[in-house]
Amino acid sequence: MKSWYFCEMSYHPAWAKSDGPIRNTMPSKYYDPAEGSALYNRFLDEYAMCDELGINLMFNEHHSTATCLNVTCTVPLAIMARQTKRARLLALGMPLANRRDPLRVAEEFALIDVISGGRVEMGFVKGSPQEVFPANGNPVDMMERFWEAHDLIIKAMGSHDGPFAWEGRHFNYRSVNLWPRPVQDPHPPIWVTGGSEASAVAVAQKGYVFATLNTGFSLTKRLFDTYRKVAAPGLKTDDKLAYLALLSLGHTKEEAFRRADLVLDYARNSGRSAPHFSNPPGYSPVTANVAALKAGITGGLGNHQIVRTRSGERISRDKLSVESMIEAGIMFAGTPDMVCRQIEDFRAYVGGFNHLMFMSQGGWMSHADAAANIQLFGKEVLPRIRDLGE
Amino acid sequence: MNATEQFSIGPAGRAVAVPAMRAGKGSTVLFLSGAEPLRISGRWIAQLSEHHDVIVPIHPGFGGAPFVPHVRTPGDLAMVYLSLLDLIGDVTVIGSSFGGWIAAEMAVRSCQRIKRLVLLDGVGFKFGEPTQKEILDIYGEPSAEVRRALYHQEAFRNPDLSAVTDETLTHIVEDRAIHSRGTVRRRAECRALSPHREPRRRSGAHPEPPEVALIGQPERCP
Repeated sequence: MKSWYFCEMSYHPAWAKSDGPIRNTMPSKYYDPAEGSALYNRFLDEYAMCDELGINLMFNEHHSTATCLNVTCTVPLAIMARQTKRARLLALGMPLANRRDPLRVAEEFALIDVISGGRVEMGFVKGSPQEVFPANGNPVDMMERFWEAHDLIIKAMGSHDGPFAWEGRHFNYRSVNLWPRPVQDPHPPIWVTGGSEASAVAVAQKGYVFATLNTGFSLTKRLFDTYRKVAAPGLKTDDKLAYLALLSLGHTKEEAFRRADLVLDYARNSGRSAPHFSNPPGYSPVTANVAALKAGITGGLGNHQIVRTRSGERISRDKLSVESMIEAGIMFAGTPDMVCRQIEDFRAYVGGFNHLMFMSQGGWMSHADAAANIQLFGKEVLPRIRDLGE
Repeated sequence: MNATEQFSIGPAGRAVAVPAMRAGKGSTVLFLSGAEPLRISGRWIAQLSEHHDVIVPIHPGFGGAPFVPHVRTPGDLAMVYLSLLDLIGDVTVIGSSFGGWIAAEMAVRSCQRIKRLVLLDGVGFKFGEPTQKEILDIYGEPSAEVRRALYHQEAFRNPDLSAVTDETLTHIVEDRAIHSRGTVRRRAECRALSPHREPRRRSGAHPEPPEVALIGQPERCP
């Protein structure tokens, strides 16, 4: 099993400065550039620690929000390409449908792949509904644009005989001639995130890594089973399945749970979004929206936005606790022994996966606690789960 | 709104079906309504039809009318309705709200068959500075504010949807999506109707402008 460290790189100092939404509309007067600079550098230092411990790195991006300072995943990826020697560098990811210039995406990934000596993993994501607005994007055609951008990037990376034209439905280029070409031939490995069976099918058909984020016991097995059912015969599907969990460690249960509660502060605050940004028309299926209209539901409709226990009971977001999130399979927390058991239990329940992504920093957690989580994972947990799936 | 007539626009095999309600006698009025079928007021139509032959089409893709893949923008809808005018002849075009946007897009392409143009709180016009938000982003503002801007009558602002059929709710959701498609694209090219942009004329268009009536304020809501 491979592990991937992930940090949202949030700007938590702003969270307490307003009772309202912290996404989309929060004014940047609540952002202090000096404090932000210190945080960026601290987060990057924590990422760099992972390299020596054999942990790979995962970056994401969001926009107009105090929940995530990364506005493009490729910039920290490029920094880490120089600062690390061994770690694989995953963007999870690049919101393809929100990018106006997929060729630029291909160029950036290729450049980082060359600088890093072939350590890039290209993750493509639909992006959260709130991202539609800062991207000035159209939610109706999102997946059409997503897959056309994907097709263009793959062709650009795999073409070495001079320019070709791309005259698609959403993107037009008179001349595509990608320089540099990536080290990994024909292109870096591709990951795609998903939260529905339809997306599991689409990703399985292409044989890409399918990643689910915080989908817990209640949803992950269903999605992974769908992938396994559709995947080509002979494909080692465990190598193509990835799961992101919140994670916290300590020498004692008490220490681990104290840190875990700090990680959970991110989950408690990241949903602070005005309802009208959570469900732009066309983003979610018509049937889900009809049901929501009848039920008077406002806000997001994605499966991933609902937290459930293993037995399927819904957990209200304002009642999130370390215990309930462990019960839901969304968080692994405790001493290294406890966490190893939780990971093994979850992995067995969902039928196997060989990529564990973990978020072990959140909100107000100090550098000392964040570093302790990384060190304990690298030294006490990773050696015991590394051989899972081999 | 129940269609009483079905227009077929374009060559056989690729024709766009446009269901429409038609009532009254007199000179022909093409009434282009707003985006939400629930907003169409029957009283308006009844009064107009006392003196006119009134045609109220359901915009392709809206209100359960068949979605046409190549009709994606208000400009595309304008081309459909210009072709409709080729079938029905000279008319007065009345565009209300989102329909006003379509009507204006028609007029900048061709006024050959538009004898009079009436824009009722038409939306989609951009004349001000870049930071002046003249078109309300109805999907990017708090819903209470949007409902206040959309509906004058209090009763329309908070409709009871519990008794509405699934079919109608499906139309509402689909309308929002298709409407959003046009709106977002519109916001991206929001100078289409501004003085800074050369109007796109339909081939063979008559350059003589129609008689134009602007009623109310340009509406911020599509």
